[in-house]
Amino acid sequence: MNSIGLSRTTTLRLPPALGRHAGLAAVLLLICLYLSLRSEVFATTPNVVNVLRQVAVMAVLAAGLTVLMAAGGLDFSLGSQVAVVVAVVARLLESGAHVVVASICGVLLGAVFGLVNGLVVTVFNVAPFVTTLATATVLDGAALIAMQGQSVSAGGALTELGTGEVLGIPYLLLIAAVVIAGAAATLRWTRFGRDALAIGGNAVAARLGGIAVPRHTVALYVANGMLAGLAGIMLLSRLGAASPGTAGLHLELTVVAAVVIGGTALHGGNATVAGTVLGVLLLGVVANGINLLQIDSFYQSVSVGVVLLVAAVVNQLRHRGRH
Amino acid sequence: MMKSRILTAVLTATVATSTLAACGSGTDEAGDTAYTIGFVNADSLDFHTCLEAGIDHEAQSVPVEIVHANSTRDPAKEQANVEDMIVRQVDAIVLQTVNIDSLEGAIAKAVAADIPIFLTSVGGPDMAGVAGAELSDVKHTGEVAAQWLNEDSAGKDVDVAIIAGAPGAASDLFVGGFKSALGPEAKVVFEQPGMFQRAKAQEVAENLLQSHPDVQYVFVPNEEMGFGALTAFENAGRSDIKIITNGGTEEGLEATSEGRFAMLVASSPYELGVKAVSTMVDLLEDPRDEPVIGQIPTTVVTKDNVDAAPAYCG
Repeated sequence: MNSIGLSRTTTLRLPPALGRHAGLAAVLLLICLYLSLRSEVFATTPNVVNVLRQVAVMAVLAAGLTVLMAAGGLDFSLGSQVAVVVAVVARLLESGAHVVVASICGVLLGAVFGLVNGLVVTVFNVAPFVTTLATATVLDGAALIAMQGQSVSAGGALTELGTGEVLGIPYLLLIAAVVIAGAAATLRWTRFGRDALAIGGNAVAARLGGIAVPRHTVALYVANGMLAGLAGIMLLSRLGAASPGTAGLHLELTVVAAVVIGGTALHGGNATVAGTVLGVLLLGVVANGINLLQIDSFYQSVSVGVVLLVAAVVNQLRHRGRH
Repeated sequence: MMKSRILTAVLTATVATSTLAACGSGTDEAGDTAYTIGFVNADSLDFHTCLEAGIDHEAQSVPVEIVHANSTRDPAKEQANVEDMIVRQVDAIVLQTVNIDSLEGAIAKAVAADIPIFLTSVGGPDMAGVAGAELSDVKHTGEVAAQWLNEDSAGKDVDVAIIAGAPGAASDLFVGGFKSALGPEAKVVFEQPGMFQRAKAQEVAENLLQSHPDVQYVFVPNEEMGFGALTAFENAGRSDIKIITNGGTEEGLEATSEGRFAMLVASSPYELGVKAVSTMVDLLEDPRDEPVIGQIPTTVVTKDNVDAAPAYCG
């Protein structure tokens, strides 16, 4: 009897990447199942595409943050970086700049923000949490200054990017998929990714092992800044205009939540892009489900919080069970 | 190590000093002005920047000195800003509150310090302590929006969606007024919060299109969210859904003249700012026993009468 049970377990064993997140995947699946039963439109192709398009920006930021957090870094300013990029690119487009020039400026601007964060963290040894919270505050103000507190229309220059599709797949989703694949490949197959994990696991040992920790850390912050630039352009293409209150801390918290729920350790050394993707999807599906089921506004935060809590606990239990 | 510490200290001191200097340069020193009025703004959205522009413009022509503060949507910061104004011994405070619930403490503090306080746009249930107010009747705005919908739908059965603001007093009043004045033929099939944010409203509108694609009217209590909904509908190729909203910015009026917004309840925060300062100065010259309370005028704007709208930002 036992041997049958064991052999069954062996046959049904999930691939490691999925097996590690079986708890989170189960929660996501259950929620999808529940929503499919309660709303006839939830599981339709247009709604699935709708949800995926809505989470694309979050996914790009979360993929980059996963690699940064693997190295023990943290960036609480990503949402604010996005806010500034959205504002500046909209201003550039409004003043007649070519869309390519404006977009390159957006990505470079993100790189500069990342460079500042990286240098403060490595040169002055300030904790990433404090550094990026401070730069987030500066950038929130900078976004308002760039917009002069008023909405700035991006015109139609980015509309195709925000609404266009190829073979029924939105461009935004394709970009997100490429970034996710890139982040996963970096962590798994490149020396850069393995070094990041080594730094997150033990920075001193990594340094003694020959890894240029400060240079590596700065590079990670710059890469995250560039992804924030890309995410800003994607968000602007969806919205069509920059306006006060876009992105900022709320987006940032959502991104951090997606990464942490996915199983990436806050202290570094352990990261998983597959888990992050599940975390992003969970948040996107819950936001969509809340609207489809028309949950009363007073209960929305409660619903989201409970789902996050359950997902985090289930994922953690699963993780603990392996040790 | 020592060198880097000194460098850090010097850098920190330089940044802090220059920041303070920059902040200081934004505040005018009292010159020949008769009064100093503290203006505590609630946020930095279009509405608030235009309100401030109106206040500054009127302050120059009176002239009075304006001391600015912004509560950045934080009720606790609003209390601190009012306290700061009291410490600075301004002659009066003009307050655009973050939230109706945080008003009581601010009014009580100003009254205790014997500094007259004037409210813009949002008033509280107890207005006894204030010197005056120029209020926006958001419930009435909701009613006006519903009345227009009743006329436009001409007795036909229609499905209506509401993309509300953040849960709380203002949004609830907008939505409450709107629902109370809707005719029996109009059925509210969808109601979800857009949190007064363009991006969130767009997301909600995208989800609305999935769940209730046949909706004919959407009521959105502010223009920022209105544009979010409009983008969602236009991205989906839907120009048939009529958006009813509230605002009056240049961009909003243009969208109305093009028929992209079916109806806009327009008002001018700039004129509100002008009125607030002029009334407050009148009250300083000639104090009254009872609060002087007025309503911000509104205009129903469709593509046929865009010229009738007041200038949003002066």
